[in-house]
Parts: sequence; structure tokens; C-alpha cells
Amino acid sequence: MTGHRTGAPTLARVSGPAAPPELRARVRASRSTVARRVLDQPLQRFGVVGAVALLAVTAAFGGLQEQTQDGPEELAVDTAVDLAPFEVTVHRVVWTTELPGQYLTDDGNRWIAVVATVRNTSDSGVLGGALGEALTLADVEGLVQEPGTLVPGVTASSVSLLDDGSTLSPVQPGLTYEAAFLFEQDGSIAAPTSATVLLQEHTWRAGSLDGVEAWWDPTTTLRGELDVREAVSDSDDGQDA
Amino acid sequence: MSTADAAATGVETTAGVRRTRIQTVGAGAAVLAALAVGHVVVTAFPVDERVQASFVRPAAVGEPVDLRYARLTVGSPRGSTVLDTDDGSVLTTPGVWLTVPLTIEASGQPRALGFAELLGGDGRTYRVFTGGRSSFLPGTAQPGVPRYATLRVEVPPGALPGAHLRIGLQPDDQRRDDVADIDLGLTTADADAWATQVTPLHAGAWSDESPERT
Repeated sequence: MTGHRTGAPTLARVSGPAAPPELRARVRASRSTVARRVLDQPLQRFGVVGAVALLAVTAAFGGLQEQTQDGPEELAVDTAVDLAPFEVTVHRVVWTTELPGQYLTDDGNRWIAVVATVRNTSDSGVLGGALGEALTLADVEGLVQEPGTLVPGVTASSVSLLDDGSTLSPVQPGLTYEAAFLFEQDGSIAAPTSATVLLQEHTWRAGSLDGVEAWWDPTTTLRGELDVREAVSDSDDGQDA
Repeated sequence: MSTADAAATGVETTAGVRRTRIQTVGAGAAVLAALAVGHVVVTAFPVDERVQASFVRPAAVGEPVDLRYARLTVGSPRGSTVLDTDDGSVLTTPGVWLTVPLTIEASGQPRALGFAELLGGDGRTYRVFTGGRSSFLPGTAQPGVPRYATLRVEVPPGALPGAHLRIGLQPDDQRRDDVADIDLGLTTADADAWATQVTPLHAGAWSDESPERT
């Protein structure tokens, strides 16, 4: 004997109403047609409506915008790259224990310096904070500066101009600066032989809270694992850090 | 209560509920209509920028300009590729250092001017902050006591011809407030001469003493 279908829906195919019987009875007593119809809906339908609402909210904040980049590209030294609002050319990574005008938090520590050429390509001066976010360091043990929450990697303790040792801020448009991004490392740890340099670009937009337009959202577009060597002074071979 | 009274009361209750619902729906529609009209008005007549625009007060070098909060007089600008900051540092630049002396006479109450920017002749804006390489930090000027300060900013030589200097009170917000706009009267000849100048410019700290007397 073979069984036959009774025509009754199975629990697996149709879910019951979302609300418990007591709540449904109270709503029925209130004579609200809208509330009664809402509570009579199956739970599955609430899930679908909720998902659509969630998608709409994320879409309103750019959730459906096309992804323009899959991931960071490989960084090449001595090659200029556009990182709005800057153009950055990374030359080398060196370490040293002494830099005129720069002070370590502990005399036994050392500086790891990423030497780069920097140019502001926007039409307005930019404070040094945005420049510090544009180039960060990763995969180096013992950096004194903690990794940030908004910027990938560890930001530099300071960005110093090679010519006069001053801090590069503001970065004026149309000028080309030779600078060193300085990262302090614990001296009890061996100097690194390689380091990962991360380059971030920013987006010009109004702030969510105050509406003030500025460079926001540092996003890594290039990364590269570069060799780190000890800096040599002018007296050694004519090339400084 | 008779059957007829009960029926009449029921009819009145039903009518009352219907009237309340109509009123609720009507109020909601009125709110939505008001929002829609407001949106159309704001979109059709975009006045926000005009309402919030600064009151720009033009002037030339040596010409006093009266602002809501101070009287300002800009002296002759100077330029070089080297700057002596008067704190032991000598700064170089890949462009040109421009220094501009200012005299600030506060109006009514102590004032600390905190906004400055150079509108370059090349169309770019060169920002000046209260610290850093390009800076303007005059401190607080007391009414009746002229304050003397020097602004410094580094720019490409090409930005100098036609450059204007803007000075204001609040560092981050110049909306609906006076802003001085000074035509510095700079030329290509000035830019060329200063781009090769290696004698350091002196940009000292603010003072209540006139530079002419010191």
C-alpha cells in the first residue's frame, strides 16, 4: 500500500504566524486591521522583508557601489604612484640610531626611515596627518607606535624633511618634498632586514558628523615588502639616510 | 437603554472612529506635503551658500581694512628660499618662502585671529595653520594695543603673481563672518627674484612693540 498526500502543508514548507496566540488574541481584540494582518504573516516573510530593508539601508550608504579594486597592488621602489591627495615615490628603507633634530623615546631605540618623494597633487594645502596615514609600516617587530584602528599598519612618529629636518606639515600643493617617514623601534629587538610598506589613498568627502569636507577613509592601494639596510652617513659614501 | 438608543450610540462610535482615522491620515498627509514643499523650495532656490558666505572685505597692501572684530593692516610682503624662524631653526623650501607683516588692532574685546590662507595666482589654495611650516600665530590682541605679527607660507613661485591673502577670526569656520582679502600686488618679477634669493628671511614671533621701534 502506498501512502497518499493529505493536502495539508508540511512544517518544512510553510512556517506558521510569527506572533504567539496570546498576542494575536490581544491584537484581534483591539480591532486594528493592520496589526492583525501583520501578525498573521508567517515568520519567513518577516525575514525576507528584513533582508530587503537591510539591503536598502546599506545601499543608501553606498553598499551597492561597484568595487573598483580587488586588493592592493605590488609596490615598486623609485616609481611614482598617485595616492589622492598625494603622489608618493618610495626610494628605500633604512635604519639608524641618530637623526639630527629627532628624539627617540629611549636612547637605546632606533629609527626605521622610509625615504620618499612626496607631492600634494590636490589644489589645496593638506595637513601632515593625512600624509602620515598615506604611508604606514607593517610586519616589523617592536615598533613603539601601536597600530591604529582607522589606518592599516603603523603610522610614522613623524614625517621629516631631509633638507632641514622640520616636520612636513602642511603639505602645500605643487611642491616636491624629499622626506623620511620615521618609525621608532625598540632597540632590544634586532633591526629588521625587511619591512612591509603600505600606501593608502584618501577620499574627499564631507564628514558624517560635522559635514566638514576633508580627506577621509585611507584605503591601502599598494603594498610591498622592501629590504631594510643600515643607513650610511655622508662621510661614508656620500649618501645619507 | 433601548435597542434604538444602542444602535444610535454604535453608529456615533463608528462615525467617531472613522473621523479620528481621517484626521490622523490627514495630519500625516499634511506633514508629508509640508516636507515635499520644503524640499522643492530648497531645491529650486539654493540660497544656503549665499546665506552662509563670508563677508569678504577687499584691501591692498598698506591699506587698513575694518573687520567686525579688528582693524587689519598688511605690510609689504617679502620672499626668499630660506627662512629664519627665530627659534633656532632655518627652513628651506623647494619653492619660495613668503612672509607678510600684519598689524592687528582688536575691536571691542580681546581677539585671537586664527585663520589665514593664500589664494595663489595659479588658482590653488595654500593653507596656513597656527603651527607647522606655513603658519600664522599672532596670539591674542588686546583692544587699544596694536599687535604685530608675521605670517609665513611656502608656495611655488608660479603662485605668487596675483596672489591674495585672506585673514579671518575662526580657524575652521568663516561662514557669515568678515574675512579680509588682501591683494598682495605681487608680480612675476617678484617671484623670479625671490626664487633665487638665498638670504634668510626673518619671521619673528608676535609682538606688541612696533617693528619700526625695535
